[in-house]
Formats: sequence, C-alpha cells, structure tokens
Amino acid sequence: MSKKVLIIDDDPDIVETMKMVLESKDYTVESAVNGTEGLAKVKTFNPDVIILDVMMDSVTEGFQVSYKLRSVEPNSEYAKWAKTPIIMVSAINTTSHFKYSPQTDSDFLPVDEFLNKPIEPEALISTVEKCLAKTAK
Amino acid sequence: MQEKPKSLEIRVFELIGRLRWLNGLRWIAIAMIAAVIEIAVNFFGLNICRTPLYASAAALTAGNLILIFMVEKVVPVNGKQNLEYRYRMTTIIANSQIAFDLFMLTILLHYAGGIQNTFSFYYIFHIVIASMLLEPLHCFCQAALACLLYSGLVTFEHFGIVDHYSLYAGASMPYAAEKVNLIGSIVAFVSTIVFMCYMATSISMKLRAKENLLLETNLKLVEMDAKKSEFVMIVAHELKSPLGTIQFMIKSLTGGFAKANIDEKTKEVLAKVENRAENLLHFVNELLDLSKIKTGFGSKEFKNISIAEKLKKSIAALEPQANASGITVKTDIHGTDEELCAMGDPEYLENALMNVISNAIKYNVKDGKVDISLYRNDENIIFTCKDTGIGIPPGDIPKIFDEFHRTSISKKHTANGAGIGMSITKKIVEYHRGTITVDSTVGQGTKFIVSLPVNNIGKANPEGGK
Repeated sequence: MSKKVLIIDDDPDIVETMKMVLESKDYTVESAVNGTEGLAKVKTFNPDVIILDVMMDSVTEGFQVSYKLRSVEPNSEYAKWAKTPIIMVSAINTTSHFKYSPQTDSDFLPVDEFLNKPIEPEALISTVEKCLAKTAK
Repeated sequence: MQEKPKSLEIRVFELIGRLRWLNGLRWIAIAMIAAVIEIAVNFFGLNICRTPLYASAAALTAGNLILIFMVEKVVPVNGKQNLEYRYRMTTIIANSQIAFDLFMLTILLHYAGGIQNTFSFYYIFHIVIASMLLEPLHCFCQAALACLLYSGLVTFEHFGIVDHYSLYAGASMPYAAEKVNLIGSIVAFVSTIVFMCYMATSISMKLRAKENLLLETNLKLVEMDAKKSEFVMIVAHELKSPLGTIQFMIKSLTGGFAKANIDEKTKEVLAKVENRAENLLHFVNELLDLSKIKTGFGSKEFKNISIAEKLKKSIAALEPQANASGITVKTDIHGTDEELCAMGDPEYLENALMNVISNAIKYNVKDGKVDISLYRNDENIIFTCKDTGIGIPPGDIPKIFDEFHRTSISKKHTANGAGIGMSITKKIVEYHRGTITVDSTVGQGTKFIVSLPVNNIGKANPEGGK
C-alpha cells in the first residue's frame, strides 16, 4: 500500500509541484490550504507524513498546527497522530532574520525535519523517506 | 537661532575642541609673556616692574587651570545632560574665557606702560577668536568690553585715577600727556575693534551657515541611502519567495519527476531556464545580504569561532564548482581548529570566506589553481587566497570593493554576477575590525589577504557596515 502524505501549504503552485514529485514516487498525496483544513484532513486522511509550511496566511499558523498535533494532553483529539512525522517547510535559514537550527531547535518547534526553501525535489523525497524510515523502526 | 539637534551636537563638540585649543594657546601666551618681560628688561633696558607682571602671569596660569577644569569637567563631551544645557554651558565657558583674556591683557598692559605699549594690538586676536567661538551678539558684547577696558585704562591713566607705569625711566607719560594722543588712540582702537568684529563675525556666520547646509545635506543623504537599502531589502525579499517556487518547479521537471516524457529540446530549454533562475536567485540573495548588512548588522554579540573549521566547510561547499572547471584548490592550514579561532559572527564570516574563494574559482582559467592558506600571526588570523585567474586591472583595484562594480575583464569572463560579493566581504571584514587587501596582476592572478583580530572581544564595530 502506498504511503500517504498530507501537504499543508497555502501556495497552490508549490502544492501541485510537490504532489507531482511525490506521486512520481508512488505516494498518495492530499493537500490543505490552511491550518484548519489541514487539521481536519489529518483526521479524515490519516497521513503517514505531514508536510507543513511554516508561514501561511498568518505567520504563526504553521507553528500552531505543529503544537496541536504534538499536544502532550492524553485526551487530545490528535493523540492518534502524535507520532506522525512532520516536515516543516520554511524559508527560515541562515540568511533570514529568524534563527533556529534544525539540530537544536526542534524542541522549540515540535517537528521532525526541516525542509528549506527553495525546495529541491530530491531533498523533498529524501526527507519524506527519512521520516518514514524512522517510523518504520 | 533655532538649530537642529544634530547640528547643535556638532556645534557643542566643535566648541569644546576649540576651547581646548584656546587653553593650549594660553600656555604659549604665558610663556611668551615671561619671555617678552625678560627681553624688554635685559636687552632693551625698559623700566618694567616685574613683580606685578609675573603676578599677572601667575593669575593667568591659575585662571587657565580653572578654565581647563571647566571645559573638561563641567561640560563632559559624552555627558548625560541634555544638549541645550551643554550648549548653554559651553557658550558660558567660551564667553568667560574671552572676557578673562581681555581682562588679563588689560592688566598686563596697565603694568607695562599702558598707552605706550604696542601689544594693545593683541585685542584684535581675541576678537577674531571670539568671532570663531561665539554667536555674533556675544562677539559684539566682547568687542564692547574690549573697547571699554582699553579706553578705561588709557583714560584713567591719563587723568591719574590709576597709576601709570611708564616704560621709560624718568619720563612719565610722554605720549599720554597729550590729550589728542589719548583721543586718537581711543578712536583708532574702537574703530579697529568694531570693524574687525563686524568682518570676522560676518565671515564666520557665512561659514557656519554653509557648514550647517552641508551637514543637513549629508544627513539627508545618509537617510536616503538607508531608505534605499530598506527598499532593496523589501524588494529582494518579495522576489525571493516566488523565485524559489519557480526554481522548485523547474527542477521538478528537469529532475524527471513529471509523468510525461520531456523531449531533448525541451529539456535543453528547461536547463537554461533553471540556470537563469539559479543566477537570479543568487543575485537576489546577494542583494538581500548587502541590504541587510547596510541597514545595520545590528549589534550582535560575537562568539568564539574556529576560522579553520569555517574555512574547511566553505571549501567543501565550493568543491563541486571548482571540479566543474577543473580547478585545483590547495589548502594550507597552519594550526589546529582550536588555535585558529577568532571572535565574530559565524554566518557573516562564513559568507565572507565563501565570497573570496568562490571568486577565485569563478574568475580562474580552465584547469587553474587556487592556493588558500590560514595561519595565526600574533594577534591576527590571516587568510590568504591566491588564484591563477584573469586578474584585476590596476585602475579597478581601488573600486573592486564598491557596490555593483565589475571590471571589464570580469564581465568578458563571466556574464553572471552583479559585483556585490566583494563589497559584502569588505563590510563583513570591517565589521569584525579586520582588514582586506588585494594584490593582482592581469593575466596572472589575484591574491586576497584577510586579517581578522583574534581578541575582538565583545561587540562589533558599529561603523563597520556603513
């Protein structure tokens, strides 16, 4: 059975291209254009990996989604997906104003991997594979 | 006159500088007084009573010490008091300095012949100095004081209200006995002083107005440049995101992720599009770096960074680029990673190293060489990068660190590049209080030498990025 990837990103062009790249590797892809829709899709689609854009309409939307999914409350409605890997896509890198490093700041942002913009298709696939390999263990 | 705060600040600063200069001049004057007294007595045999004159010189010395104290302590240059207050204080001190000098000159003249003494010309000096230091009204007041003092002195001496100490033994008041001489002296003195004061103040007023104009223009230019950098930053930021998306899309096509097969011709065109997008993105990133550096590095805390480690990382990152052109990169690092450390900002320093090395690769000939060395020399880390590239024409060397400057031969060599990299590098190096020098021969190659101080403790050089 092919693995399921959920893309939560407000840029339809990026979503479409990611979809094309991932589908070429036989992933089943669904997408959502904002945080609310994304959270709803998590429940219905039950993805194996979530790709989350850090900055959507509001700057903190991506953060909030990741916090909701990683909520430590045992009766959280998303408890089932607490271990589903999240890849955060961001333009935050060494040259931007914001600073965090994937090595040290995954405490701050409860996600598994970071994917820097501009996205490299190869990097996208390898990151997804890496996340899936981790959960398979 | 309502002056802008910035110009007022500069005025206070300037005034304090001139007051210090005046304090220094006063020491010379005191030495001269002593010399003149001795020469007048010993060589010309003038009838001078030395005691009151030396007493006056002593008073002048004491006065100067007090005035120095006032300049240094009462009006601290970087004090916390507000500007208006400081300006008022410096003006008061400047006025008292001039008035003090006028009094002392009058006293000295009094004990040394009064009207007979030709050193009365020295009042003119003081008025010229007053016109430099003071506002016109104050300067005229000082001129009036000078007139009053001198006229008073000669008049009182003439009528015997105060004693007259004649310079010539036995002959009492040889000139001043004549009323016409007294009146003549006063008229000549007053007219000279008033006219002098008028000329000097009008000239210094004009100069000051011009200075203010220049200052204002300069401030405006600085402000405009900052606005421009900010604008560039916003534009670059806006360009970056869609460009990244475009690049991702093209790469997805050229990388063979599309469902349909793409024919060779289309692939070729797509590769060109990809290349163009890549260059454009690189340019936008450089623009962003430059504008960020120009709008202020901020005052980042420096960390201890291993330059050796950063260098190795940069070289590794640029290896594919070098391999593609068959360029051999030779690295010579003297010392361990721990030894070759300096205080600085890790990202900026890496950026600077990358810029220098990538230029050495980019502007090299096919199968050329790049020799990189890193060593510690006393208190500095020295990084050199020598290439066998196209070189820089001598006329271009002073300009290579200017923004958007590209040499004619570099344009011929590579179409890509906007001439930003070296400008960024220099700003980064200066931000770290380091230096960058270049040595180049056309057709033979270029050598860049970057020197970074090791003990760059604490904060960055705030002027560095300007």
